[in-house]
Amino acid sequence: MGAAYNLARWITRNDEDARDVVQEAMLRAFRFFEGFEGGNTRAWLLTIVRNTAFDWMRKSRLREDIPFEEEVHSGEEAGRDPESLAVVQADAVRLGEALRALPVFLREAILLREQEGLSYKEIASVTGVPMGTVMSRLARARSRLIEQLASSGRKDH
Amino acid sequence: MDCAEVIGLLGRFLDDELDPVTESEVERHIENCAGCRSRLGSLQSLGAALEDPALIYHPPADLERYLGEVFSRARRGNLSRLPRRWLPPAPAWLVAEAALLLLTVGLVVWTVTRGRIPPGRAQSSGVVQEVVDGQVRSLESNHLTDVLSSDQHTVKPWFAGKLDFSPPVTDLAKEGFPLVGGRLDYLDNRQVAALVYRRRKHTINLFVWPSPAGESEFAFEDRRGYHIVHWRHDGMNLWAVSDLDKAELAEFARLVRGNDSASAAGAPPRNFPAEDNAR
Repeated sequence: MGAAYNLARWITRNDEDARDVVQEAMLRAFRFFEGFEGGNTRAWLLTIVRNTAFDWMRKSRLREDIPFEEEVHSGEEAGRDPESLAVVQADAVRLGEALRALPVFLREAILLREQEGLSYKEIASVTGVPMGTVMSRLARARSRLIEQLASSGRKDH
Repeated sequence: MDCAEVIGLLGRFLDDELDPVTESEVERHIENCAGCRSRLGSLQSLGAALEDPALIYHPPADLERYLGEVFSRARRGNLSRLPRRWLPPAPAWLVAEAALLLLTVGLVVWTVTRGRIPPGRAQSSGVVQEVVDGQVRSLESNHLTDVLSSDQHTVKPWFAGKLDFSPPVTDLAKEGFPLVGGRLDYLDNRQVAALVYRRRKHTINLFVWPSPAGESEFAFEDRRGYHIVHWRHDGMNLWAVSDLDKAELAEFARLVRGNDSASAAGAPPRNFPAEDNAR
Protein backbone atom coordinates (compact mmCIF):
# COMPACT_ATOMS: atom_id res chain seq x y z
CA MET A 1 0.00 0.00 0.00
CA GLY A 2 2.70 2.45 -0.98
CA ALA A 3 0.10 4.54 -2.79
CA ALA A 4 -1.39 5.43 0.59
CA TYR A 5 1.91 6.72 1.92
CA ASN A 6 2.75 8.55 -1.30
CA LEU A 7 -0.53 10.45 -1.31
CA ALA A 8 -0.25 11.28 2.39
CA ARG A 9 3.31 12.49 1.85
CA TRP A 10 2.40 14.78 -1.03
CA ILE A 11 -0.54 16.27 0.85
CA THR A 12 1.24 16.86 4.16
CA ARG A 13 4.64 17.51 2.58
CA ASN A 14 6.73 15.88 5.29
CA ASP A 15 7.66 12.37 6.44
CA GLU A 16 6.54 12.50 10.08
CA ASP A 17 3.07 13.73 9.30
CA ALA A 18 2.70 11.27 6.44
CA ARG A 19 3.55 8.41 8.78
CA ASP A 20 0.98 9.52 11.36
CA VAL A 21 -1.66 10.01 8.71
CA VAL A 22 -1.11 6.57 7.20
CA GLN A 23 -1.38 4.82 10.56
CA GLU A 24 -4.54 6.68 11.45
CA ALA A 25 -5.94 6.00 7.99
CA MET A 26 -5.33 2.26 8.38
CA LEU A 27 -7.21 2.26 11.68
CA ARG A 28 -10.08 4.13 10.06
CA ALA A 29 -10.08 1.74 7.12
CA PHE A 30 -10.62 -1.23 9.41
CA ARG A 31 -13.24 0.63 11.37
CA PHE A 32 -15.17 1.58 8.26
CA PHE A 33 -14.73 -1.75 6.54
CA GLU A 34 -18.17 -2.94 7.53
CA GLY A 35 -19.74 -0.12 5.57
CA PHE A 36 -17.72 -0.83 2.48
CA GLU A 37 -19.91 -2.39 -0.13
CA GLY A 38 -17.21 -3.73 -2.34
CA GLY A 39 -15.95 -2.43 -5.68
CA ASN A 40 -13.05 -0.09 -6.09
CA THR A 41 -10.91 -0.89 -3.06
CA ARG A 42 -8.00 1.30 -4.12
CA ALA A 43 -10.15 4.41 -4.58
CA TRP A 44 -11.90 3.68 -1.27
CA LEU A 45 -8.62 3.42 0.57
CA LEU A 46 -7.19 6.53 -1.08
CA THR A 47 -10.32 8.42 -0.08
CA ILE A 48 -9.74 7.47 3.54
CA VAL A 49 -6.07 8.45 3.37
CA ARG A 50 -6.86 11.74 1.72
CA ASN A 51 -9.60 12.66 4.18
CA THR A 52 -7.42 11.60 7.10
CA ALA A 53 -4.63 13.83 5.80
CA PHE A 54 -6.90 16.86 5.61
CA ASP A 55 -8.44 16.13 9.00
CA TRP A 56 -4.96 15.85 10.43
CA MET A 57 -3.89 19.18 8.96
CA ARG A 58 -6.96 20.89 10.39
CA LYS A 59 -6.46 19.33 13.83
CA SER A 60 -2.80 20.20 13.96
CA ARG A 61 -3.63 23.76 13.04
CA LEU A 62 -1.17 23.60 10.24
CA ARG A 63 -1.96 26.01 7.52
CA GLU A 64 -0.19 26.15 4.23
CA ASP A 65 1.23 29.55 3.49
CA ILE A 66 -0.29 29.34 0.08
CA PRO A 67 -4.05 29.06 -0.26
CA PHE A 68 -5.73 25.67 -0.61
CA GLU A 69 -7.09 26.75 -3.90
CA GLU A 70 -6.92 29.75 -6.12
CA GLU A 71 -9.90 31.98 -5.58
CA VAL A 72 -9.61 33.81 -8.84
CA HIS A 73 -9.95 31.91 -12.04
CA SER A 74 -6.87 33.10 -13.83
CA GLY A 75 -8.12 32.15 -17.25
CA GLU A 76 -4.79 30.72 -18.33
CA GLU A 77 -6.22 28.99 -21.32
CA ALA A 78 -7.68 32.04 -22.99
CA GLY A 79 -5.54 34.16 -25.25
CA ARG A 80 -2.48 31.94 -25.02
CA ASP A 81 -0.37 31.86 -28.11
CA PRO A 82 0.32 28.17 -28.75
CA GLU A 83 3.46 28.86 -30.70
CA SER A 84 5.27 30.53 -27.82
CA LEU A 85 5.11 27.46 -25.58
CA ALA A 86 8.40 25.65 -25.40
CA VAL A 87 8.58 21.91 -25.07
CA VAL A 88 8.79 21.27 -21.37
CA GLN A 89 12.18 20.30 -20.11
CA ALA A 90 11.55 18.91 -16.70
CA ASP A 91 13.76 17.23 -14.23
CA ALA A 92 12.48 15.61 -11.08
CA VAL A 93 13.96 18.21 -8.74
CA ARG A 94 12.36 21.17 -10.52
CA LEU A 95 9.11 19.32 -11.01
CA GLY A 96 9.03 18.38 -7.31
CA GLU A 97 9.45 22.03 -6.38
CA ALA A 98 6.74 23.05 -8.77
CA LEU A 99 4.40 20.41 -7.31
CA ARG A 100 5.03 21.54 -3.76
CA ALA A 101 4.27 25.08 -4.82
CA LEU A 102 0.83 24.13 -6.11
CA PRO A 103 -2.23 24.68 -3.94
CA VAL A 104 -2.96 21.33 -2.31
CA PHE A 105 -6.26 20.65 -4.12
CA LEU A 106 -4.55 21.09 -7.48
CA ARG A 107 -1.61 18.95 -6.39
CA GLU A 108 -3.77 16.07 -5.19
CA ALA A 109 -5.80 16.13 -8.42
CA ILE A 110 -2.81 15.95 -10.75
CA LEU A 111 -1.09 13.24 -8.69
CA LEU A 112 -4.20 11.07 -8.47
CA ARG A 113 -4.49 11.35 -12.25
CA GLU A 114 -0.86 10.89 -13.28
CA GLN A 115 0.66 8.80 -10.48
CA GLU A 116 -2.32 6.69 -9.46
CA GLY A 117 -3.99 6.63 -12.88
CA LEU A 118 -7.45 7.26 -11.48
CA SER A 119 -10.29 8.21 -13.83
CA TYR A 120 -12.06 11.54 -13.49
CA LYS A 121 -14.97 9.75 -11.89
CA GLU A 122 -12.68 8.10 -9.34
CA ILE A 123 -10.90 11.35 -8.57
CA ALA A 124 -14.27 13.04 -8.06
CA SER A 125 -15.21 10.28 -5.66
CA VAL A 126 -11.94 10.34 -3.71
CA THR A 127 -11.82 14.15 -3.41
CA GLY A 128 -15.55 14.62 -2.90
CA VAL A 129 -16.15 17.18 -5.65
CA PRO A 130 -18.06 17.07 -8.94
CA MET A 131 -16.32 15.94 -12.11
CA GLY A 132 -16.43 19.44 -13.52
CA THR A 133 -14.34 20.64 -10.61
CA VAL A 134 -11.90 17.78 -11.18
CA MET A 135 -11.45 18.77 -14.82
CA SER A 136 -10.95 22.40 -13.90
CA ARG A 137 -8.39 21.57 -11.20
CA LEU A 138 -6.45 19.28 -13.56
CA ALA A 139 -6.37 21.93 -16.25
CA ARG A 140 -5.13 24.56 -13.82
CA ALA A 141 -2.57 22.23 -12.26
CA ARG A 142 -1.15 21.36 -15.65
CA SER A 143 -1.05 24.97 -16.80
CA ARG A 144 0.70 26.14 -13.68
CA LEU A 145 3.24 23.32 -13.73
CA ILE A 146 4.09 23.84 -17.40
CA GLU A 147 4.31 27.58 -16.90
CA GLN A 148 6.57 27.24 -13.89
CA LEU A 149 8.83 24.69 -15.59
CA ALA A 150 9.02 26.76 -18.77
CA SER A 151 9.88 29.93 -16.87
CA SER A 152 12.41 28.34 -14.53
CA GLY A 153 13.92 26.64 -17.56
CA ARG A 154 14.22 29.98 -19.31
CA LYS A 155 15.97 31.49 -16.30
CA ASP A 156 18.83 29.07 -16.70
CA HIS A 157 19.43 29.90 -20.34
CA MET B 1 -13.20 23.67 -33.83
CA ASP B 2 -10.87 26.56 -33.13
CA CYS B 3 -7.65 26.49 -31.15
CA ALA B 4 -9.07 28.08 -28.04
CA GLU B 5 -11.68 25.37 -27.81
CA VAL B 6 -9.24 22.55 -28.54
CA ILE B 7 -6.66 23.71 -26.03
CA GLY B 8 -9.31 23.57 -23.33
CA LEU B 9 -10.04 19.97 -24.31
CA LEU B 10 -6.48 18.70 -24.60
CA GLY B 11 -6.28 17.53 -20.97
CA ARG B 12 -9.42 15.44 -21.32
CA PHE B 13 -8.19 14.20 -24.68
CA LEU B 14 -4.96 13.02 -23.10
CA ASP B 15 -6.82 11.34 -20.26
CA ASP B 16 -9.19 9.49 -22.60
CA GLU B 17 -12.15 11.22 -21.02
CA LEU B 18 -13.76 12.63 -24.15
CA ASP B 19 -16.75 11.17 -25.92
CA PRO B 20 -15.79 9.56 -29.26
CA VAL B 21 -17.27 12.36 -31.41
CA THR B 22 -15.42 15.17 -29.69
CA GLU B 23 -12.30 13.03 -29.50
CA SER B 24 -12.14 12.58 -33.25
CA GLU B 25 -12.81 16.28 -33.82
CA VAL B 26 -9.89 17.14 -31.59
CA GLU B 27 -7.75 14.59 -33.38
CA ARG B 28 -8.59 16.11 -36.76
CA HIS B 29 -7.75 19.58 -35.52
CA ILE B 30 -4.42 18.49 -34.08
CA GLU B 31 -3.39 16.85 -37.33
CA ASN B 32 -3.46 20.25 -38.97
CA CYS B 33 -2.38 22.56 -36.17
CA ALA B 34 1.24 22.72 -35.04
CA GLY B 35 0.46 25.00 -32.10
CA CYS B 36 -2.07 22.72 -30.51
CA ARG B 37 0.15 19.75 -31.27
CA SER B 38 2.94 21.45 -29.42
CA ARG B 39 0.73 22.11 -26.41
CA LEU B 40 -0.35 18.46 -26.41
CA GLY B 41 3.31 17.49 -26.50
CA SER B 42 3.96 19.63 -23.41
CA LEU B 43 1.10 17.93 -21.58
CA GLN B 44 2.41 14.52 -22.55
CA SER B 45 5.93 15.38 -21.38
CA LEU B 46 4.51 16.62 -18.11
CA GLY B 47 2.55 13.41 -17.66
CA ALA B 48 5.61 11.28 -18.27
CA ALA B 49 7.72 13.45 -15.97
CA LEU B 50 5.22 13.06 -13.14
CA GLU B 51 5.73 9.31 -13.23
CA ASP B 52 9.42 9.71 -12.43
CA PRO B 53 10.23 7.29 -9.60
CA ALA B 54 12.07 10.10 -7.84
CA LEU B 55 8.69 11.76 -7.32
CA ILE B 56 7.10 8.74 -5.72
CA TYR B 57 7.51 8.47 -1.97
CA HIS B 58 7.93 5.13 -0.31
CA PRO B 59 7.18 4.49 3.32
CA PRO B 60 10.13 4.08 5.67
CA ALA B 61 11.09 0.46 6.26
CA ASP B 62 9.50 0.06 9.68
CA LEU B 63 6.19 1.53 8.56
CA GLU B 64 6.28 -0.68 5.49
CA ARG B 65 6.78 -3.76 7.66
CA TYR B 66 3.90 -2.68 9.88
CA LEU B 67 1.58 -2.14 6.93
CA GLY B 68 2.61 -5.44 5.37
CA GLU B 69 1.85 -7.24 8.62
CA VAL B 70 -1.54 -5.59 9.01
CA PHE B 71 -2.60 -6.41 5.48
CA SER B 72 -1.45 -9.99 5.49
CA ARG B 73 -3.26 -10.58 8.76
CA ALA B 74 -6.40 -9.00 7.36
CA ARG B 75 -6.20 -11.21 4.28
CA ARG B 76 -5.93 -14.28 6.46
CA GLY B 77 -8.87 -13.06 8.51
CA ASN B 78 -6.62 -13.24 11.52
CA LEU B 79 -6.78 -9.81 13.05
CA SER B 80 -6.89 -10.76 16.73
CA ARG B 81 -5.04 -7.54 17.44
CA LEU B 82 -3.32 -4.95 15.34
CA PRO B 83 0.46 -5.41 15.65
CA ARG B 84 1.40 -2.78 18.17
CA ARG B 85 5.08 -3.11 18.60
CA TRP B 86 5.89 -1.41 15.35
CA LEU B 87 3.92 1.68 16.30
CA PRO B 88 6.36 4.48 17.05
CA PRO B 89 5.52 6.78 20.00
CA ALA B 90 2.12 8.27 19.28
CA PRO B 91 1.73 12.03 18.90
CA ALA B 92 -0.65 13.80 21.27
CA TRP B 93 -3.64 13.89 19.00
CA LEU B 94 -3.49 10.14 18.47
CA VAL B 95 -3.14 9.40 22.17
CA ALA B 96 -6.30 11.34 22.89
CA GLU B 97 -8.26 8.84 20.85
CA ALA B 98 -6.56 5.80 22.33
CA ALA B 99 -9.35 4.80 24.68
CA LEU B 100 -11.91 4.92 21.91
CA LEU B 101 -9.52 3.02 19.68
CA LEU B 102 -9.20 0.13 22.12
CA LEU B 103 -12.96 -0.30 22.13
CA THR B 104 -13.04 0.07 18.38
CA VAL B 105 -10.38 -2.56 17.78
CA GLY B 106 -12.55 -5.12 19.46
CA LEU B 107 -15.44 -4.16 17.24
CA VAL B 108 -13.18 -4.04 14.22
CA VAL B 109 -11.89 -7.55 14.89
CA TRP B 110 -15.40 -8.90 15.03
CA THR B 111 -16.43 -6.92 11.97
CA VAL B 112 -13.38 -7.73 9.91
CA THR B 113 -13.42 -11.44 10.60
CA ARG B 114 -17.13 -11.57 10.02
CA GLY B 115 -16.97 -9.58 6.86
CA ARG B 116 -13.90 -11.15 5.41
CA ILE B 117 -14.81 -14.80 5.13
CA PRO B 118 -14.12 -15.16 1.45
CA PRO B 119 -16.88 -16.56 -0.68
CA GLY B 120 -16.08 -20.13 -1.60
CA ARG B 121 -15.32 -21.26 1.93
CA ALA B 122 -18.88 -22.38 1.92
CA GLN B 123 -18.11 -25.52 3.87
CA SER B 124 -17.80 -23.51 7.08
CA SER B 125 -20.61 -23.94 9.55
CA GLY B 126 -21.45 -20.26 9.07
CA VAL B 127 -23.04 -20.94 5.71
CA VAL B 128 -24.92 -23.97 7.02
CA GLN B 129 -26.48 -21.75 9.65
CA GLU B 130 -27.25 -19.04 7.11
CA VAL B 131 -28.93 -21.54 4.83
CA VAL B 132 -31.17 -22.78 7.62
CA ASP B 133 -31.93 -19.21 8.66
CA GLY B 134 -32.85 -18.50 5.06
CA GLN B 135 -35.22 -21.46 5.04
CA VAL B 136 -36.87 -20.47 8.30
CA ARG B 137 -37.13 -16.84 7.32
CA SER B 138 -38.73 -17.64 4.00
CA LEU B 139 -41.37 -19.78 5.63
CA GLU B 140 -42.13 -17.65 8.66
CA SER B 141 -42.16 -14.28 7.00
CA ASN B 142 -44.35 -15.55 4.20
CA HIS B 143 -41.76 -14.23 1.82
CA LEU B 144 -41.21 -17.38 -0.09
CA THR B 145 -41.12 -16.03 -3.60
CA ASP B 146 -40.68 -12.76 -5.45
CA VAL B 147 -41.67 -14.46 -8.69
CA LEU B 148 -44.44 -16.98 -8.31
CA SER B 149 -44.52 -19.33 -11.28
CA SER B 150 -44.08 -22.98 -11.96
CA ASP B 151 -42.77 -22.21 -15.41
CA GLN B 152 -38.97 -22.30 -15.58
CA HIS B 153 -39.12 -20.06 -18.63
CA THR B 154 -40.66 -17.38 -16.47
CA VAL B 155 -38.52 -17.86 -13.39
CA LYS B 156 -35.08 -18.07 -14.99
CA PRO B 157 -35.28 -14.79 -16.95
CA TRP B 158 -36.74 -13.05 -13.89
CA PHE B 159 -33.25 -13.16 -12.32
CA ALA B 160 -31.64 -11.39 -15.27
CA GLY B 161 -30.73 -7.84 -14.33
CA LYS B 162 -31.12 -8.64 -10.65
CA LEU B 163 -28.16 -10.97 -10.28
CA ASP B 164 -24.73 -10.96 -11.81
CA PHE B 165 -25.16 -14.60 -12.81
CA SER B 166 -27.84 -16.76 -14.38
CA PRO B 167 -29.01 -19.59 -12.13
CA PRO B 168 -29.92 -22.92 -13.70
CA VAL B 169 -33.65 -23.47 -13.26
CA THR B 170 -35.26 -26.81 -14.00
CA ASP B 171 -38.84 -27.90 -13.71
CA LEU B 172 -39.16 -31.21 -11.90
CA ALA B 173 -42.95 -31.43 -11.69
CA LYS B 174 -42.97 -34.73 -13.58
CA GLU B 175 -40.60 -36.17 -11.03
CA GLY B 176 -42.74 -34.98 -8.14
CA PHE B 177 -40.89 -31.79 -7.24
CA PRO B 178 -42.87 -28.93 -8.79
CA LEU B 179 -41.25 -25.52 -9.03
CA VAL B 180 -43.09 -22.94 -6.96
CA GLY B 181 -41.10 -19.82 -7.86
CA GLY B 182 -37.96 -17.88 -6.99
CA ARG B 183 -36.62 -14.94 -5.02
CA LEU B 184 -33.42 -13.11 -4.21
CA ASP B 185 -31.68 -13.92 -0.96
CA TYR B 186 -28.37 -13.16 0.72
CA LEU B 187 -25.81 -15.75 1.83
CA ASP B 188 -22.07 -16.05 2.25
CA ASN B 189 -21.68 -12.31 1.84
CA ARG B 190 -23.31 -12.11 -1.53
CA GLN B 191 -26.61 -12.08 -3.34
CA VAL B 192 -27.86 -15.52 -4.29
CA ALA B 193 -30.79 -17.05 -6.14
CA ALA B 194 -33.35 -18.99 -4.11
CA LEU B 195 -35.45 -21.45 -6.09
CA VAL B 196 -38.47 -22.84 -4.31
CA TYR B 197 -39.78 -26.33 -4.90
CA ARG B 198 -42.46 -28.39 -3.23
CA ARG B 199 -42.73 -32.05 -2.43
CA ARG B 200 -46.17 -32.89 -1.08
CA LYS B 201 -46.44 -30.49 1.87
CA HIS B 202 -42.72 -29.85 2.21
CA THR B 203 -41.00 -26.74 0.93
CA ILE B 204 -37.51 -27.01 -0.50
CA ASN B 205 -35.30 -23.96 -0.83
CA LEU B 206 -32.52 -24.39 -3.35
CA PHE B 207 -29.89 -21.66 -3.00
CA VAL B 208 -27.61 -21.14 -5.98
CA TRP B 209 -24.61 -18.89 -6.45
CA PRO B 210 -21.38 -18.98 -8.46
CA SER B 211 -18.30 -20.81 -7.29
CA PRO B 212 -14.81 -20.67 -8.70
CA ALA B 213 -14.00 -24.09 -7.27
CA GLY B 214 -14.54 -27.33 -9.17
CA GLU B 215 -17.16 -30.02 -8.92
CA SER B 216 -17.89 -31.71 -5.61
CA GLU B 217 -19.90 -34.64 -4.36
CA PHE B 218 -23.06 -34.31 -2.31
CA ALA B 219 -22.45 -33.37 1.31
CA PHE B 220 -25.16 -33.74 3.92
CA GLU B 221 -25.87 -31.76 7.07
CA ASP B 222 -28.62 -31.66 9.65
CA ARG B 223 -29.52 -28.54 11.54
CA ARG B 224 -32.50 -27.69 13.74
CA GLY B 225 -34.67 -30.37 12.22
CA TYR B 226 -33.85 -29.51 8.62
CA HIS B 227 -31.88 -31.61 6.19
CA ILE B 228 -29.35 -29.98 3.94
CA VAL B 229 -27.51 -31.29 0.93
CA HIS B 230 -24.91 -29.20 -0.86
CA TRP B 231 -22.60 -29.62 -3.79
CA ARG B 232 -20.82 -27.77 -6.55
CA HIS B 233 -21.63 -28.30 -10.20
CA ASP B 234 -21.00 -26.43 -13.39
CA GLY B 235 -19.51 -23.38 -11.71
CA MET B 236 -22.22 -23.06 -9.08
CA ASN B 237 -22.67 -23.68 -5.36
CA LEU B 238 -26.01 -25.41 -4.76
CA TRP B 239 -27.54 -25.83 -1.32
CA ALA B 240 -30.90 -27.54 -0.89
CA VAL B 241 -32.65 -27.35 2.49
CA SER B 242 -35.96 -28.79 3.61
CA ASP B 243 -37.77 -30.65 6.36
CA LEU B 244 -38.31 -33.31 3.73
CA ASP B 245 -36.67 -36.61 4.69
CA LYS B 246 -33.04 -36.98 3.78
CA ALA B 247 -33.47 -39.66 1.14
CA GLU B 248 -36.04 -37.73 -0.88
CA LEU B 249 -33.96 -34.60 -0.56
CA ALA B 250 -31.03 -36.57 -1.95
CA GLU B 251 -33.18 -37.66 -4.86
CA PHE B 252 -34.14 -34.03 -5.46
CA ALA B 253 -30.48 -33.09 -5.49
CA ARG B 254 -29.67 -35.80 -8.00
CA LEU B 255 -32.48 -34.63 -10.26
CA VAL B 256 -31.30 -31.04 -10.04
CA ARG B 257 -27.74 -31.97 -10.84
CA GLY B 258 -28.93 -33.59 -13.98
CA ASN B 259 -28.59 -36.76 -15.89
CA ASP B 260 -24.87 -37.03 -16.15
CA SER B 261 -23.38 -40.47 -15.60
CA ALA B 262 -22.41 -39.94 -11.96
CA SER B 263 -25.93 -39.14 -10.81
CA ALA B 264 -27.70 -41.58 -13.12
CA ALA B 265 -25.72 -44.48 -11.74
CA GLY B 266 -26.77 -43.65 -8.20
CA ALA B 267 -30.42 -42.84 -8.92
CA PRO B 268 -32.71 -44.82 -6.61
CA PRO B 269 -36.23 -45.90 -7.47
CA ARG B 270 -38.80 -43.18 -6.81
CA ASN B 271 -40.34 -44.16 -3.52
CA PHE B 272 -38.02 -46.68 -1.96
CA PRO B 273 -34.67 -45.10 -1.15
CA ALA B 274 -32.16 -47.96 -1.52
CA GLU B 275 -30.01 -47.03 1.48
CA ASP B 276 -32.85 -47.12 4.00
CA ASN B 277 -34.20 -50.39 2.67
CA ALA B 278 -30.79 -52.00 3.01
CA ARG B 279 -30.80 -51.46 6.80
